[in-house]
Amino acid sequence: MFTRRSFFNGAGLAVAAATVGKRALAALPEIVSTDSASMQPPLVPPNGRPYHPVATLNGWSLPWRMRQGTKEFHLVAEPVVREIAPGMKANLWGYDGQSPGPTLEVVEGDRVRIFVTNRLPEHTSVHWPGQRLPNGMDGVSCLNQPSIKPGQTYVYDFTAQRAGTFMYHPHADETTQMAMGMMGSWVTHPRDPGQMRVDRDYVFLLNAYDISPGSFTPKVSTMLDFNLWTFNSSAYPGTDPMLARLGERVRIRVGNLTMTNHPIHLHGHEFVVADTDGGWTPPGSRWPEVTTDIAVGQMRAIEFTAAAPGDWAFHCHKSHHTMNAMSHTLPTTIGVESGDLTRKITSLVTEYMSMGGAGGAMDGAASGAMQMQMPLPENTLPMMTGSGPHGPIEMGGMFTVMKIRADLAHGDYRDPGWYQAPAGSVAYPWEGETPAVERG
Amino acid sequence: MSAAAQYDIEETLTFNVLSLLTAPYARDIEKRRFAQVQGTLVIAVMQLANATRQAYFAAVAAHQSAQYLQQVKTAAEAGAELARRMLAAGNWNILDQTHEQGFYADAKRRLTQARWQQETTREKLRQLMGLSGEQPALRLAESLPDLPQHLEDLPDVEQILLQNRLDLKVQRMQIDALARRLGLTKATRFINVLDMGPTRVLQGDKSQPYERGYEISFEVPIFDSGAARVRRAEAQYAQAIDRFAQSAVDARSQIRQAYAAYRACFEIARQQRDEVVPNAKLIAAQNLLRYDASLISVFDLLADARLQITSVDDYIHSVRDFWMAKSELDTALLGNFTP
Ligand SMILES: [Cu+2]
Repeated sequence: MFTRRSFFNGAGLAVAAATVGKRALAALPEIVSTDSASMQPPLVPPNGRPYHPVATLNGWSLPWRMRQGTKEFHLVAEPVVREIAPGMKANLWGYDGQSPGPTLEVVEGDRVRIFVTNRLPEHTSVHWPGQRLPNGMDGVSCLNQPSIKPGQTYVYDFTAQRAGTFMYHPHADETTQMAMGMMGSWVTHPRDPGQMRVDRDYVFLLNAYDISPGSFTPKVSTMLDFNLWTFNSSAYPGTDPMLARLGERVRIRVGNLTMTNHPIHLHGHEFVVADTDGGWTPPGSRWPEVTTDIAVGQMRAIEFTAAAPGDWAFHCHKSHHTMNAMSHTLPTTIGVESGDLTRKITSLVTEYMSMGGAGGAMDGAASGAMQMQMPLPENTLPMMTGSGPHGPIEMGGMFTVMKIRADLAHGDYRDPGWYQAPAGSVAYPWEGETPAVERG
Repeated sequence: MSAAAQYDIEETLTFNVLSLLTAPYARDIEKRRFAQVQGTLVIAVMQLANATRQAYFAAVAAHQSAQYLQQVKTAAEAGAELARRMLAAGNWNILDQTHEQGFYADAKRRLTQARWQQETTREKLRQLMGLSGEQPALRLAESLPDLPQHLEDLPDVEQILLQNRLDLKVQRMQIDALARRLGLTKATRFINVLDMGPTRVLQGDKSQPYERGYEISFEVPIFDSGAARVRRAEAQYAQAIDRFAQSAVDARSQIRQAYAAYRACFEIARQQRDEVVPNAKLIAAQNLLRYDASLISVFDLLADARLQITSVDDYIHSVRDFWMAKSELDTALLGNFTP
């Protein structure tokens, strides 16, 4: 849910006042934030140029204030607690109560003013990749502007000149700040709402974290060996499904702010890449695909027609990116009968933990924790999880489901549940005789 | 062996000592000699009791240790067998497999050592208890007694010496008897032997009366009239006083050392119990969770379990050391525990 906090109750008030002055402070847009990690309904523009709003997967769009023809947004860079999936929360840095921050939606030609208040314990800045803007608004700390010190509020002011999909992220201590989840999406809609019009327009970012099982805060010095791969900081089964009515035109805008590439794959449909960071792709240059690789720092918007009803998997094609935290050093046990021995070893450990030391009942804090016998370390998602209509889905990380239904109303984003496949249209077990397998 | 039976052993070892200690002291001179013999006997029993208690704690600890190391060996054996299967299936190479095999060999060696220690300590205990080969097998408690809740304070050492040290009582009686036997009757002064080193004598306070009686006192009369008639007797008496002074100072030092050991062993065992072992168990529990979550392999679990189980072995030894130190202290409070 949105909460509207009066800025005058905000902790940053005193310091912000020192920076921008009392008169300017009174003119700051109020802070809007949310504590929900679920997908909010698209934000229908209450004023300004009309457009068809996006739906941010496991996210939301930030309301603005229209002031003298300028759209004013207020981003508060701050520590947040984000639910990655039920059963796991992360201590991240983000904007306006969530990480990633809210999606900013404007229209080509809009004059935009973004107030950025820094409530982090260190300096920051915001860079707007791909935007055509004055050099002093590009946000590279100490190249284009002084860094925003803790407690300060800075103002970015430019015109959204080009329609397309953009991102925003800090350009100050950026390895740390992006490892902590500081990023957000930006959509500039075409001035003509009919141009590149789709029925459902989804947007989200790809993110990677390294959160040691049992802990809450990402290891910011990890550069490659991440253990959580997420769509908008949500891991399956915490990711929302995407929905479409049969026959609707669907766009999915995916920005990659991780340190590796992600081949994004949709089942049951062909799509085209209709938009990149640089703009709409010329129709003649598009070719059909079912997987498109999104390189580091890139954005790709795919488009397709929801042609077939069903629950269609949508995921990164790196299989370890569709798993939650796991070991990368487990030995292969295929072909090894090990149950009897592993039972022997684990029962030794269990027995040992229940032993009363040397002749006395163990007391103290540790024994309490032991008796709980949690199946997993605290705050840790199962490596493979999720249950579907036919059993455990055994997925995690960058995975969700594209749900296409004939009976879904236009603009309805509520989860319709599992697809009821028509009789005779589901793979079935062979009931007859199975010929003996001959091996040489 | 049940807890009740274990208590019986303790009781047997201490009963006679206590009854001897609480026996009323002889009131007249004829019984002084009996009192000396009584004191000497009590010291001998006490020394045997201490030696037996030490052997008992060592034997129980060795038994517990052997049990733990048996478990480590069982787990290492499972690990080695699993490693062999990994090699046979082609999932591991000979290097991986040999590492696990090495752990198993080490666990076997440690178990053999622990069993040897178990047999040695049991035999020592049987010997001290006077059990011969035909007598029924010695059955020990499964584990050492728990640590007490609190450390006992050490009362004033000189007070303890005054009240409890049987060896000093005996020596004191011997000094009085010697003076009488030598016919020394005219004390020239009194000294407190605890204030005198073995090589120097301090002047005492003459005004204090020489308390007659059989309570132990470190104030002894000095006879140094210098008269030719008694010179030889006085010299012999002075040597006895020197020995008594040396014994009293040694006794005080023994008690302080024994108390220091008792206190340190208690702290170590308590820390093992309250910090080290709970930490080790928490690590084992967390590792088991990580194993269940496919975050570590069964080999990682096993390698860590070996380390954690070792900490329990250390704890057993720290509890053993505490009870041994306690027994030494109890003995030191009553008499010279060094046979
Ligand atoms: Cu990926």
